[in-house]
Amino acid sequence: MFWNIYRKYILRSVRSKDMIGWTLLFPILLSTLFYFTLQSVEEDMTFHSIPTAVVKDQPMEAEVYLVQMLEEVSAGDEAMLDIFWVSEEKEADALLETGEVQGYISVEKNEPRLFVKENGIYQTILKNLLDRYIQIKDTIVTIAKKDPVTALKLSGMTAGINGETFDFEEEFIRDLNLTGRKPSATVTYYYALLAMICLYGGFHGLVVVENLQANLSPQGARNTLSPGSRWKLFCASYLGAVTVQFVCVAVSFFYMLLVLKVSFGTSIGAALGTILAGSMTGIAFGSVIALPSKWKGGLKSGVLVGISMLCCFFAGLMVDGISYAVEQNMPVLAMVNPAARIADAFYCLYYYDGYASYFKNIGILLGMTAVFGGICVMATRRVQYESI
Amino acid sequence: MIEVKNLVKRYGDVLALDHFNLDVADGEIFGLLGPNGSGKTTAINCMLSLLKYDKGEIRLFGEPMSPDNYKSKGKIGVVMQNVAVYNELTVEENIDYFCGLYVYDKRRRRELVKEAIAFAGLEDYRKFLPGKLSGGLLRRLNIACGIAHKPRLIFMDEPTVAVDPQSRNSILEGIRELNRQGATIIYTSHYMEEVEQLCTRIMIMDKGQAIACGTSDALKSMIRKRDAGSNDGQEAELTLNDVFLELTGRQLRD
Repeated sequence: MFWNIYRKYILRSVRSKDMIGWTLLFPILLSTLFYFTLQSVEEDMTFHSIPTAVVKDQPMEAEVYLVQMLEEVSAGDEAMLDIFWVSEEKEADALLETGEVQGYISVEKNEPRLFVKENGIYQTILKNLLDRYIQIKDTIVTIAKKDPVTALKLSGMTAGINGETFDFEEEFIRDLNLTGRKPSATVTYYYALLAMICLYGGFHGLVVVENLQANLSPQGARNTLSPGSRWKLFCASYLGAVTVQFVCVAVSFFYMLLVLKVSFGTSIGAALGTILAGSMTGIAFGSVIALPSKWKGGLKSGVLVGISMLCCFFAGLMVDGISYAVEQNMPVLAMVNPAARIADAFYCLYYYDGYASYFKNIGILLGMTAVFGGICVMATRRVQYESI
Repeated sequence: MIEVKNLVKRYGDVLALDHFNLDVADGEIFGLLGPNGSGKTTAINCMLSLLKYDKGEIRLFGEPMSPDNYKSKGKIGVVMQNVAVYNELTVEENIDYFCGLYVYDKRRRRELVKEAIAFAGLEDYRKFLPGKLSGGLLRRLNIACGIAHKPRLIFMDEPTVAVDPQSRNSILEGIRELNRQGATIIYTSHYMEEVEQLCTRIMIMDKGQAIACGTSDALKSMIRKRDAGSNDGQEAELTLNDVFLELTGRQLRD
């Protein structure tokens, strides 16, 4: 009986245009749209050296440390500034007017000054760079005036002014990148999208429960009248639903991996494990939504989509960084958000070297599945209805 | 086969079954007649343990009926008023699915599915999806799904609704055949002539109560006796329809 129900559920799902449309075609279409949208976003986010003119006249040459710092930040492949050294302010002005540079730096009365034509991200970076230089320089000068010995002890910091400003910052901030991959804002969108597809497995959950409840469908009545226990009926249909959902999400996953070249880390098996756990949670979640008999089918679908989208919003599907903000400010909400857990499990595989965080996420997903599944079984076993 | 004693079922303030009693013997084709809302379907759903009831006792095959009386459930077949099949499965797959809920042996099930298809006259439509079937064929599929596992007790709730005369005739002949094979059948319908032809005994229900029960002839003679005085001795040819209207009244029902 079990395998008959299981096989027929798969057959019904495969032939259901709605089901295939939502769980297979829609995600592929959406991920393709993501690809084109995020590609341009990524291009916009790529940092280019800021073309900047520096007036290297006498006052500038007197500011030895400033010149050294500017030379330092304009050297190498990943230089922050692309410097045009000019001898007069007029030349710098001309470059700024023609738009060849984003701004120019000169020194007047021993103070570095920045000239820009418009406001923007590059101009802000230039301003911050100069402010930082001035701040550190003033600090050292102040200390030197008051306590020359300490000023000498702070030679590291003094050295910072000598073109090592950014090393000074690295003393305090250090990036840990355990897999060697750069943190990426764009992959998180794909991970949240996969989380959304997993939660859309809830549509299967609606079907599974509808077919078990005599008060929800005539087929449910016929199944209820059979001599098999509800537990077996539920498990067989649920397993069929998980199989279909897993295959559909896996197709989307491989499409993202092989066609869209989205990085999922090196462990494909673990990524598929996330899909399996996510699908199980999504279907079990949908099964719980399907339980209230007074809710009509449309309302149930609406509630399912609404909650899924809300979960995905907080998992970072629409706004970058929101999942981090939720995790910092509302850790419990982040913990019980299945979409956040699915997306985070993918991110752990991408970014971290170990599996501790990954297994924590999978454990939470399986825990939620057990709770949702338990509610369903308890709510449907030995049920007699008030009315049909 | 079926014993129902003092069954009471309320939907809020509405009394759907009012101390309803029923006794059906093995091998009968028992007809349940009644206007809309008389309690026929409610009585059947209570007997099948789908509906909760407020009071009374139901025994099927000599045992109390409950949702987890799987032994009794395995011997029951149900043909619902609403067509209960899956639109994504073919005729054959639908019958196989519902038969599979009762019969786990694949080989045996294959035989039973084949027989059910032949019984319902669906041989030419085995690979058809339900959406491609006419109303009559769909009803026949609905019946095949309910009886494929060869149940001993079959509940048929208006199985011939919206079916053309040819299909209806075929369905009725099939029901007689099931009965000849040993099945006890509880049959509800609004078609009086159908019930009169088919059923060994008939119960007329109204307002949740059994108001008359017996063979077709017994019911007719009951009306004749009652009306003997007022008819001045003239005897008209009575039909079951006359009996029904006489007992349940001529006013329109919801």
